[in-house]
Amino acid sequence: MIAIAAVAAVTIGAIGLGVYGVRFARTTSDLFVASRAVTPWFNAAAISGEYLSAASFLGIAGLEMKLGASALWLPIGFTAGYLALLLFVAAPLRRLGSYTIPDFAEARLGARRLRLLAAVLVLAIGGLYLVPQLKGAGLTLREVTGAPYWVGIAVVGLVVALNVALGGMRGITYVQAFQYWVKTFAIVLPACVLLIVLGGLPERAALFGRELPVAPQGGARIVLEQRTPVVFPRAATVRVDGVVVSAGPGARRTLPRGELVVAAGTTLPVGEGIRAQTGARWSRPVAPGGGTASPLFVYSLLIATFLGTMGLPHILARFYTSPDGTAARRTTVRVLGLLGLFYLFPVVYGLLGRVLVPALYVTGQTDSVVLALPEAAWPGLGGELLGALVAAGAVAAFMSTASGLLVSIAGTTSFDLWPGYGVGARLVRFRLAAVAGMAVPAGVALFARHVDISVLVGWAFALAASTFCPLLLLGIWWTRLTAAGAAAGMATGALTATAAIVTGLAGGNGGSALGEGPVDALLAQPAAVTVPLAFAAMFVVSRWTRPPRETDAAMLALHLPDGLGASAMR
Amino acid sequence: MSGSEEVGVDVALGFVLGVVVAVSVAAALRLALAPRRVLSPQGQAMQAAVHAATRTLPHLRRGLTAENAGRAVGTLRRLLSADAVALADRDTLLAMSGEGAEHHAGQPLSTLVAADHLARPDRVHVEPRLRCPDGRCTLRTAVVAPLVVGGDRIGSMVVGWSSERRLGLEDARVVGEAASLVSAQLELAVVEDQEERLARAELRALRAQISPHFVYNALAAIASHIHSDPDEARELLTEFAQFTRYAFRGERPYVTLADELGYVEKYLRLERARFGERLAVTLNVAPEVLPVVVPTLSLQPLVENAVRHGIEGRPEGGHVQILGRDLGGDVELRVTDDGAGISPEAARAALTGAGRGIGLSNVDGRLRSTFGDEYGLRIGGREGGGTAVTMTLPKFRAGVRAA
Amino acid sequence: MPRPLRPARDELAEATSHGVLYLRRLRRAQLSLSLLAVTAFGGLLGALPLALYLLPGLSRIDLLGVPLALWLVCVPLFPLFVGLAIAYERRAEALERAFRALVGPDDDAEP
Repeated sequence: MIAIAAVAAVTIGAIGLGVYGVRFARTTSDLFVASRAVTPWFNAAAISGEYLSAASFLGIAGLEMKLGASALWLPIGFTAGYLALLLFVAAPLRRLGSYTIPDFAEARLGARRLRLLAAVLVLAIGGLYLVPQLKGAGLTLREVTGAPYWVGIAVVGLVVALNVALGGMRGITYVQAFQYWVKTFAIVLPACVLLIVLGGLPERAALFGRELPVAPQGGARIVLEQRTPVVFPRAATVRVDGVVVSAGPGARRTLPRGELVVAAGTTLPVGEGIRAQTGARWSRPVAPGGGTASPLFVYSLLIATFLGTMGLPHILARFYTSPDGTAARRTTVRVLGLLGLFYLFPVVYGLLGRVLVPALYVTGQTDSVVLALPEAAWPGLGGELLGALVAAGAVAAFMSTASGLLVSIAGTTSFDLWPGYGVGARLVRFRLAAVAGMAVPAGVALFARHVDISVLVGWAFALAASTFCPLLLLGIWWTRLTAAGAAAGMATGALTATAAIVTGLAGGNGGSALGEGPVDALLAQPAAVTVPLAFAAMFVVSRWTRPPRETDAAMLALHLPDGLGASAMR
Repeated sequence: MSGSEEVGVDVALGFVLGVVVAVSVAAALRLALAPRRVLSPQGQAMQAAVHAATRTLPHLRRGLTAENAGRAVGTLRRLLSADAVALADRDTLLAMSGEGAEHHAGQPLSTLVAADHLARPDRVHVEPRLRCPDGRCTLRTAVVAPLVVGGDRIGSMVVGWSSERRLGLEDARVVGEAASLVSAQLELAVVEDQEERLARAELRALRAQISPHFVYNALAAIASHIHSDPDEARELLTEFAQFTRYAFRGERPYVTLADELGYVEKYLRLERARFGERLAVTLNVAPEVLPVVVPTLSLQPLVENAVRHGIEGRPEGGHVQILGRDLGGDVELRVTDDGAGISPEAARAALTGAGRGIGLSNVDGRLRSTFGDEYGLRIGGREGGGTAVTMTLPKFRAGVRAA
Repeated sequence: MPRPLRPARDELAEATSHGVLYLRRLRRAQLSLSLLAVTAFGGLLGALPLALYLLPGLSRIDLLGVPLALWLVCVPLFPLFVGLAIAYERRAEALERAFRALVGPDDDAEP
């Protein structure tokens, strides 16, 4: 009940701030203050607020619990992406004044068709990134209200789509900055309180020792909502609704629906696609052998996130609010600080979750560990209040990212892909595109229930890193880039990355239960191969083709320090 | 043996690791400690010398007088690394710096150089053996170059050295170039005089952009404060000066909305001095909209219109609202008043420039020519219900940047 | 008739070949600064997985009950990012100030 109230409060607060946030009446004496652009700190909070998605809030801890410490490279990559943005993109792009990649492509290379290609990729990346947000919504609302998975997707999808379509963009900077602090508060406070209540990390053996996940003291009672295929890593005897199931080590069984009861200290069966790991193995960030801890996968993931952040459509759009290139740079530095603060904490949930809510290993729903943990760790009102807080944070996470993505998707659709004339007509198209742009990912999210949130996000990053990253880096820093080269590079990156992901999917792994070989690692996270390929294609084709005649004006707009116009303009 | 191979791989990787860490630590230290320069040190020194020259030489734009020449000779001497530099008009050494300056400055030019070398405007004269009547004078060699304005030789530049060095071609050329630099400044004195006259004409043309109505009212309001509240009057006068400076900067075609709002604010302060509490203004602009690039003085005429039609002639006063909305890829700015309103015919007339409305047609035209016909102004509202003027423009257009 | 030289910032604003020369120098300086920062950062970040891979013993050393390897992944990189970012930001802004002083008239140069 408290949780429902908290979720509702965040939702209404965000919508209200969006609609009324800019309606503060200002008298003339305040005009000057009001016409100042937002400060770098404020804008940095807004950017961080839009960026910290369901993947950050729920996904990292979930993946950490499932796969182990190798998931902890994700927050590092998510943050490092802003360093790449800072070093190569933020200031020049802001000086140019463009705030979408299609705009950049056209302004820099003067090719209308390239703009179309970029617009299509914006939709692909935005859509791919939207799916896990909706998945997070489904999970959260089910955890909080007990409603079926699809209800959360439908409700949140509808709220976000309507809010965007009906002018929720007003004052979005205020909303996103507010959401950053909601999320940070919601992840930091419960983590600290739980560590204090529990007196530190419990059960060293389970976390870092030789133990596999076992049922906690007092045994585990787990409700299986459907027939669940499981693997017993050790010999064990469990009961489902009183029916005894015995299994030897390594045995596969399909448990019927009902309440699974496991005695305290018994090694738990694990759901499909999950590998039971000893604490020692689980807690290693990098380890020999295959899987997500293999160095190849780790490096590929770091490349994808380091280079992919700059290609996320909703992030670049936020930089428009900075008044100039210097402010954009300062904003990015602050974003790094704010993200670093947030990302110190998800790891705590994964660690505690392994010991305190191991039931999630059976059902496979490790993505909900952040939501389930407070009440499991601290039964009673305290846990319930903390649970409400993390639920509110989760709502803030997928609401803010989803609205940002939807604004980009609808904007790109109404500007680039759906031709028509006139500002009024474009607004109508924007609204229709917002609704349609939400409907498609929502449909996909219904089927993507068993793919981890962070895995889906990893793909979006891989696609962005293989297409927009070379376009931005070479476009900003290399005068010889041509439209043909840019198109070839983006097409190469998009096709190879998509092919790898689809092949990996067809191979049956949801991206998490990896095969042992290096090929499996690269199919699951292809950036280490596809990004160099895209760069190479862009470079070679640009060398072959004649560079555009007029690059000087665009280069000037990108690199001339702020405040240096012609002296006649002073 | 595979075991030893693995050890070998690990050793190799360990080596790579060591190198990578060493390189990155070195790079981090360099990033934190080493200063970044745009120019090399030599380039920097040279640039500093030239820069000093460009700072002092413009004094000559006020004409070739002893005072202006005195400010330039020292810089010239350092620039040329000579022992002495003097500037002269047709017959007198106006100023000198370096060796022998104390006894040559103010003397006739002929004390240094024979007059027959000074007639031709296009000749540099090289004097390998100077003979100064003053025995203590250490200057031995000199190059004399003409200062030419409009084809006439109006003076000379004399560069001297005290050693018995042989003057090379380089010396002659460098002095010649320096003299033409000085000539250019003197030429500018003439040009600037013409430009000033031109600027006055331009100003007259630009004044048309600001309504005389407003200028008159603003000055009247300031005048009314002079006795009652001199501080306020002084502040208003400053605002007025800043506002007009902005308005007259015709060569700055685009500004950010944030800048334009800053000037709207100055404008409104002046109007408030007149209307006091009768003028209520609400500003409601989303921060995402502030960086949008607008034509200079495009929002201010809208606000001025709203003040004129919404407040003037209404003793009870009125309310002007300025709204800025983000429409995705476009931006909508709207200025409303609650005055008498406007009929559709009058609205059309205002946009074609035929009817009332200060400069609305001008703003509309500038928006359309910059951003295309789908953007521009719309005027709405009924008789008795107030007027709303709406401006739409794109968030980004390649090539349109705020100066 | 000798013509005065135009200020470099005018050359820049109109993208003449002279202005482009200035701009190329600035772009190269900025790029080399960015590459320096990315070397520092990429090297340190890139070394960590390799170090953890080669030195499994880091997982057996405990600090406050948590393996050192886990600490290394979870905490120190974030302040490192911020530190590098601040160092880069200061250098980049100094570079732009130097450039402004180089091309602009005095009244625009910041102290």
